[in-house]
Amino acid sequence: MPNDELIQVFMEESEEEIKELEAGLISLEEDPDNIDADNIGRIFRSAHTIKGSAGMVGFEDVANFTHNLENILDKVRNNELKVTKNLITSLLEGVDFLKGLISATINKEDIDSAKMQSITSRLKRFASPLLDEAEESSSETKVVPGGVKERVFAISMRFRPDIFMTGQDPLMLLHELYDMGEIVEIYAHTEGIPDFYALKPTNCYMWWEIIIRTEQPLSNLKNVFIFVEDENEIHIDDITEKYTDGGNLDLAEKPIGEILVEKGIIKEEDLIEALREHKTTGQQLVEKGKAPKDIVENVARIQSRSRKVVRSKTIRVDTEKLDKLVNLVGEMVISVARMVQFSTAIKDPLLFRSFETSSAALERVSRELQEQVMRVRMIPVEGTFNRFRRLVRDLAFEQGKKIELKMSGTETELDKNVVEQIGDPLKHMIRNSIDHGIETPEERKAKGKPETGTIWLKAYQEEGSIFIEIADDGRGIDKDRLLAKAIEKGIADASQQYSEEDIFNFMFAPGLSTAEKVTEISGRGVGMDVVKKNIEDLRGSIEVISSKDMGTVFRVRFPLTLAIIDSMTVRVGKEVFTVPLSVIEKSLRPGREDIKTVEGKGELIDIRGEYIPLVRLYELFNIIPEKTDPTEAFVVVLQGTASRFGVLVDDILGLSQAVIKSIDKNFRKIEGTSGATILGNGKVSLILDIHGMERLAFNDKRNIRIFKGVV
Amino acid sequence: MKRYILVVDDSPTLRTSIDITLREFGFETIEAQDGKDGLEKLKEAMKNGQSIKMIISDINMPVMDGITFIKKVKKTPFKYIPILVLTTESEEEKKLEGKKAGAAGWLVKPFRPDQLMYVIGKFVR
Repeated sequence: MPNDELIQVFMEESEEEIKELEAGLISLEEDPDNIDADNIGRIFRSAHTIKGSAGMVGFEDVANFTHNLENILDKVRNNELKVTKNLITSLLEGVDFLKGLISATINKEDIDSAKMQSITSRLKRFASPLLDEAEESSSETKVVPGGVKERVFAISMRFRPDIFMTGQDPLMLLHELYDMGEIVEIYAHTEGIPDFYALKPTNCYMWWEIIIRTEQPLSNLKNVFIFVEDENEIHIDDITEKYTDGGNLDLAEKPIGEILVEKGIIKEEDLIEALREHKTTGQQLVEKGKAPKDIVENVARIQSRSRKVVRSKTIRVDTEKLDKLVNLVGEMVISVARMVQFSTAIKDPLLFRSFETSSAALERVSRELQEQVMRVRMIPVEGTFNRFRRLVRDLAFEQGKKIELKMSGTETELDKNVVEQIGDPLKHMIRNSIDHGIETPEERKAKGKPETGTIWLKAYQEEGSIFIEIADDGRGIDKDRLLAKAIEKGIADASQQYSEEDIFNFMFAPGLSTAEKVTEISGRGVGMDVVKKNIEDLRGSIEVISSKDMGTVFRVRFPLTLAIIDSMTVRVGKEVFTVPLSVIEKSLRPGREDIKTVEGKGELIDIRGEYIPLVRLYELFNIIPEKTDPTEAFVVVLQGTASRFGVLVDDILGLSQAVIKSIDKNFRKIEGTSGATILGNGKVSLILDIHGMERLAFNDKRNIRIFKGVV
Repeated sequence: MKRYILVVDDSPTLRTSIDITLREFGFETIEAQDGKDGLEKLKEAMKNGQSIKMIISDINMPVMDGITFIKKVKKTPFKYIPILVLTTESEEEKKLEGKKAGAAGWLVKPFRPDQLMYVIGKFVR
């Protein structure tokens, strides 16, 4: 039952529309030869609207009657009916009757059905002049063919992967089919579903085959697919003649032997015996001389092998088990290294030689084993990358920008821990690119750039490291503004000259935000300093390259594996330290003239014309050294992302692979180190952490930059 | 979070009747009287942070008709919002046109509340 509010709205609306109708008809009558398309369109729409609205409030008589008016007006609109005075008179008569009909219906009064009938007939004659009344009434009744036979259709539906994006859902088509008849068979093809990491939840990977038994004609079935048939593969075949009832599907799947056993016709032993004698298709073909025996056997062998491969392609393993495995392999590598050291104690030359060859083999195998175990932990970055599609789309939209996200190297693999934890820092950099990098379409147009900005997400492996790049073709970093901000925040010194690289690095300083207008997202207090810290926690590093109006590139670098590093071992006094090779630029023994002491800035060392700070490791860690004179000792030059300095050590022992053991888990955090490793002789060696050392040596990162700026 | 459905129809009766049904089922409606108004209402909704789950649009409307409206919507970021077109049985070819423009489904007027909710249910949870 329509409620009062709705009836009130309908009353007002129909009054309005009827006024339009009348006015339009009258102006049509004034100039019948010159039909104004706008006018007739308006009149038609009024009738159309009244009809639709009346239907919605449940006034069927009103809707049906108005349909006649609409019908004629439609023909006039399409130049199928000529406007005559007679026609207009009849139409106006109809409109008059309509007014009364509406008010009678609303007030629940009786309807003059005789008059309605006569006006309707007259209007209908205008609409289809060839019909006399007899034919008319017969055309009113729908022809329902008696005794419709059921037909069987085979339907196959394959969808484009992005069907969900078009607002369509195969499920709803299935529901619709379900309502149309009896689904006798349905097959969901799932073979296209990729493995979990490659799976895009927004894609449709499945396709269906359906056999439906229905009384509906083919055209009705086709109507189900009206919105999807163009861009998807939908085939409907009438297979009534071919289709034979499948009967009990359970029986169809069962081998005949089992059915016979179940029915008690044969005993299970009989079946087993019969099966034993059963010959394979291959055997039978060989016996009949259709195929040579060796070829059949060979094919069978290959088949069984490939079946095995298919079966064992993937296996799920608890990550805890994996971690344990990684640890154990790490211990083994260390033990092997220790064992090799003992070989020097062997006096017998023959025994020594055979020991050496076998231990070298053991070393090689264990290293390979370690590598493989590490590889098991690696997963592609694709899943993490794909998450950003939505982010870019939403943010671009929110800010009225046009941005395309391009990805490459999504198959690049990284340690699982890293992949899981780079999401947030990457997200922040991408947001940064959208918020501050990519300009609005107008701005871009003015600069002569394409309106649509591009953000690239790249992953690749190079020189034993994994690189992830977030690049945009936006406005680039405004160096002057960044520097001004850094000075304002007390991060930079106004009296200093800074290189481009230095200025860009201020971006990663705590408490710096260059965005003048803080947007909803990048204003959440997470700065680039946190991004940098997150990346460094994962033993990665970050650098920025930017050029005005050309864009900005953030390049993040991660070691291939987390648990093993190539390193150099150095000695200070009795302590042995491990330095990651990735931060070592070079090592040297300086000459007297290379060392300078600058007032207030400490010791500097000249490395090919550039003065860098010299850090005495023994001072840092309070150790009694063997050598205090730099010209007698060694200097290892360390290059971080932000700074460069020399470290004074007594001696360089050699290169090795170090398996990192966390010390803060077992002991406590030691400033200036990132962990420990066990040496070949079983002793513990601390791994130097370049950033921690910076903090220890200079108290504040800023000093290093100032040092660098001086010279 | 409120779920909005944009109803674009020049007939207040249609809009009101849809509105009554939708509210009963926990949706909020945003009404527009023609395609142009519809586009403006979409922009407004975005500004207000209202999440539009579906668009229901008539075809025959003044100022901007439904087909043009759908085509325009399909060129905006709103293109993923499913659009339901309202037709009458006499507009079979309009249904096809609407489909070509990018509508996701249709409903023939007049319809009952349960029919409306059934079709909406196909697209919106």
